[in-house]
Amino acid sequence: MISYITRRLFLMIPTLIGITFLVFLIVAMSPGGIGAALKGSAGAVESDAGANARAVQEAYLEDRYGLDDPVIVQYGRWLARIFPVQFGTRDQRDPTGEVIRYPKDLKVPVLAGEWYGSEADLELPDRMPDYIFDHTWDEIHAAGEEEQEAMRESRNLAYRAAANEYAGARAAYITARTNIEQTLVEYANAEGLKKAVTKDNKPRPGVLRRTGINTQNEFYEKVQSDGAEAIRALQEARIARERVGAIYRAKPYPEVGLALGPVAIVPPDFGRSFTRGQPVFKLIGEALPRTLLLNLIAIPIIYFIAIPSGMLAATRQGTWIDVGSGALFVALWSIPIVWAGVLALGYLAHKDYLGAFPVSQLHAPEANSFTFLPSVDANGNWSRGYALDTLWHVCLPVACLVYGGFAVLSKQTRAAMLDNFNADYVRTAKAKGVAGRDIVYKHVFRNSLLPLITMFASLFPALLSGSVVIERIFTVQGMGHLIIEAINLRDRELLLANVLMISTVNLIALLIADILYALADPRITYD
Amino acid sequence: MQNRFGLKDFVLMALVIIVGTISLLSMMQADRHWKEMFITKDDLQTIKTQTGDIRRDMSNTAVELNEQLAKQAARLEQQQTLIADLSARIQSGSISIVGGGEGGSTGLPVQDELEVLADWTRSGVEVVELPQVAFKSDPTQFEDFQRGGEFTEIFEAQLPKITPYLYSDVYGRRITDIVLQSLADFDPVNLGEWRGKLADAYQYDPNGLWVRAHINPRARFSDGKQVTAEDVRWTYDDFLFNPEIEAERFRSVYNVISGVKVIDKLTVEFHFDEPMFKNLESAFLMPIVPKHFYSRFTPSQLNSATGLLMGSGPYRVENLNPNNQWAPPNDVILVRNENFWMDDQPPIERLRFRAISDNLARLTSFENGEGDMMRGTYEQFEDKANDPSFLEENDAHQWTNMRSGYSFIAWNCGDRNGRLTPFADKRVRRAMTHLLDRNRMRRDFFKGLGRVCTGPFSPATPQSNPNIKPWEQDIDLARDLLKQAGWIDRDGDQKLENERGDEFTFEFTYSTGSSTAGLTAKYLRDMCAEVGITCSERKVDWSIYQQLLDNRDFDAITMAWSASVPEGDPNQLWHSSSIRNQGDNFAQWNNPEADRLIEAGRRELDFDKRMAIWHEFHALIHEEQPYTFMINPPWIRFVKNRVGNFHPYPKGLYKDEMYIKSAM
Repeated sequence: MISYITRRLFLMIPTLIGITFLVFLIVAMSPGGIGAALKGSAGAVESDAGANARAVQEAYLEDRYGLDDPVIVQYGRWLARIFPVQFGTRDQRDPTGEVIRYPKDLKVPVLAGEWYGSEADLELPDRMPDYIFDHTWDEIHAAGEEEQEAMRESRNLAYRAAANEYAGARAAYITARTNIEQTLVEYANAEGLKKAVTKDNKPRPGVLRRTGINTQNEFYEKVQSDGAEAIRALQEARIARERVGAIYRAKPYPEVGLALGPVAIVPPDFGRSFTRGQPVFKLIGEALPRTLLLNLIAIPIIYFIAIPSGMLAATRQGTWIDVGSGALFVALWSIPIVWAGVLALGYLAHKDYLGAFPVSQLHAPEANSFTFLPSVDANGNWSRGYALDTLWHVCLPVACLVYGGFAVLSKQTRAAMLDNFNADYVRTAKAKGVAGRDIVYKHVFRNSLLPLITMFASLFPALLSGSVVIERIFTVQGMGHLIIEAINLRDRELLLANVLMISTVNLIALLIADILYALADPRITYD
Repeated sequence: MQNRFGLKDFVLMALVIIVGTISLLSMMQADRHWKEMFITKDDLQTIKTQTGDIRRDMSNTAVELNEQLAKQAARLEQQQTLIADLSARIQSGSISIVGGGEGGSTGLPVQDELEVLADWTRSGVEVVELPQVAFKSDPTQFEDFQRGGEFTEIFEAQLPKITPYLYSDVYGRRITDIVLQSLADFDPVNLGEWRGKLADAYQYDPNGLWVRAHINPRARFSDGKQVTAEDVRWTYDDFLFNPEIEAERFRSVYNVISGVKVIDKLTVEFHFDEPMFKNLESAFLMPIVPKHFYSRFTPSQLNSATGLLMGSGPYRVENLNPNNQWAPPNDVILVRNENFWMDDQPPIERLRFRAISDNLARLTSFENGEGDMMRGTYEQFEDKANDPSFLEENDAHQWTNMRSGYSFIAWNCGDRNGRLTPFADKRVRRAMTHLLDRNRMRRDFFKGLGRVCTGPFSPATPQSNPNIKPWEQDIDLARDLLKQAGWIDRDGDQKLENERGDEFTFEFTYSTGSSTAGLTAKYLRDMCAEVGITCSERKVDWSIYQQLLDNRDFDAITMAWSASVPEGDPNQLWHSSSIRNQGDNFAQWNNPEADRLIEAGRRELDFDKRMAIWHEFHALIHEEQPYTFMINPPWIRFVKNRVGNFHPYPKGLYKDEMYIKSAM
């Protein structure tokens, strides 16, 4: 059994990589591709500063989030960041808790050194010697608290200044690079080379290279001057990068994780959502409890009502209980959630009708000032408290989540029980004189558990994913909302983290179901 | 004997569960207390540092005062010896006093501690005084006026952040607009005139290359610190254009400004590359943030901040503790700024903004009394505006203002994938407009709200030409125009063909998300069929739209533009240079006369002359119909009638002057 579980756990790693990669690929292939929302917002603003303004802005965003790399590289980078083992230069963590990485590499503009500039212009600047701080880390640790603060701050300032300078130089280079790219597009259009321009209005260096440069083209001069400018900006940015790199190598901040020889064990970094600017981990951490709260209340209710009524229906097969519960559950199951939600709002929450329930969200606006449990204050005023307030707010969403779930589960239970009622061992037990109650609970029910366990496995991930419709109607910022948003906006980090989380839970649920099979049915073994 | 699960066991188990739950709940309660304590501790720490700052400031001031006193004493001593000396000399008769008053200026140097120059102006340029933004309608004149109360507005979507220049949606803008102030703003009724906010006077280069603004010496941020020229410079250089801050969205709006220079403590000068009418607007409308507050944070802290918002406006964010800042999905709460420096103080004590995403839930919540204002849909307006039971407690308003924008059908006037579309001919475009009864569309699709649109400028603004009347539906005229353009039914199949015998067919592209666009498509198809044109529908997802527009891959497409300032710059949408490089002139309308007018208008700094040019441009675009302009959708607001002094202005709403009526 142990070896089976270990094997399954190890198999999860390639499966997870496969799932995340597939989902990522599908989203990347969809119209707009990764970061569609960013590009859209770049186009939506009013821009007056020349025709290149939008292109420059897009280039900035692409550079910042690495969207100009091929999809596979983007995925690889993500994988490396969430992998708990890190090789090479270790990340550092600044006093605000932000992970600082070695400055990103700079891409050479297309056709540089071929159509404009020379190879010599593109030579990399010499590697700078590592920066030397006034104090070593040992000295800092040895110093008193106030001195320590000052020493750390001097390191921080040195790095901040260099990093800001590099960001400026890099931005200037991105502008220059976009300009030369746009000039090449103009050149290609003037040449009539439709194939040399991509759908995103970028030049295709391969096509241009094959045709060779035409010095008679009206944009030839502009290519030369813009190209020279781009190379100059590139070299400047490279020098700034060397400078910040030298400081980085001297370790301005403590390193992240635990060193083990050449590798380091680091906590996985899920990155920041690029549409919200916040760490993905934090966003999920906020949304997940809301979804869990709803589901953890809803699912036990479904089980506690559906399974006993299924058992009842099976033991009283054909009576009005069986028919009635079946008809009722199927009727409930067929009510669309949107409709039910709207009706619940209109009749149960609107003050012109019942008005007994809150309309939106999971807490009253002033809930943070409540005590947790219901209480009576000194003046004898009763306060319902945070816990009760929450329960009151979840009533309607939970009701909407619950009512459709009875039918499937109770019918499943009923069918499984009926199968077993007709089995030989039940007749034997009856003949032996075992009490009817014992037959139902000890024999039939236990043998009917297998299909319920299968249901359980599929239910576990549903616990996390949340219902988009209910979240929208009742304004709950849960997981459903987060995932839909990630997909619509093609938010790479948010999407991958969500997919990873849900697929991990899914795989674990399947594993647990398999283990439970073995426990429920002694005939099943995995050895 | 087997162990049965009896009643006793059940009671026991229930007891265990109850005890467990209670202990769990009390643990959570304790946890909450801990959190609260940490937040309080944090707040205490901030207060401590602040008092520390104040104490330091005070002791510094005390030291300075002492120094100055010592200097003064020294000076006095000097003067006394001088006087003694003088009187001795006078008495000895060595000098005689000729005139009076010379004794006052003893020749001691004037100390230049104040950075405020006596004269902040550039010589030779007219100084324009900016009258302060004031209430249009004084709330105190009403009988039921009171100060205080809470006003709740319900938003349609959850806003992710309210940090200035980093927010990403219209709700973020609405909140930062209340908390931050810019140098000046448009008058809410007469959209052509400037009213002073932080600035009280300015000079504008007659050549349009710089503007120098003087900051009102009374202006204070909500923490009581003075607003200085350095704050303006810092906002521009080190916040908005700091490459490490993710404010790209806003940079393109302000990049007509080439630099900001501090002249003295309260004077700041903006420089521009080119003389354009937009320049003044960019400089004046840029919200100013306090340097002393924001410079405490690293760029990455600001980028991920959700609720770091501080400014000099009439309201401030209730909680500015960076470790406990506002975050979604909590309500945004703004409270009245106790240090607000302007004359007209807003009466309402607290503003609350909550988000409810579902239309019905929003209306229910509003009707239940959980909100004072919300935006209604067309259907809701039609339903509620005449419902007496609704109007007992609420009012329904709809009006066209400068942000109204317009919906339109764009005709591809250029080539699509190398082939000219039929709409390259302006007569065809005119014919298409004459086919549509836009009043009927307004009645049926927009529930009779809004108005039929004639051009790209909002009718609430002076930029729009009031003399232009929308083209009426006239199918015979449309047939005529099509005939002139060479589209005639040549083979008697009730379909139009050109000389080469190609049938007139085109594709109408619209987005899946919009319900009115679907109705427009059906209507357009029917009207086209009437004159013998085949119109096919193409329904695409919104994410594909930008791609289609960029590659001009459509015949006709429907969309809507919205506006944010009273005077739009037509360059982005209509100049022929915006056709190249996937610019926003996706209709590929190339008209030399329009180019000339746009260039002249952008460079014309005189307001009246410029409006004349825009009116001419408006007339030209009306004649040419690169778009069929459809509807200026109105703003729809439901407001509780306990809110007093609510006025729909051409600029939008003016929350500062509203008040909550006292119960009488």
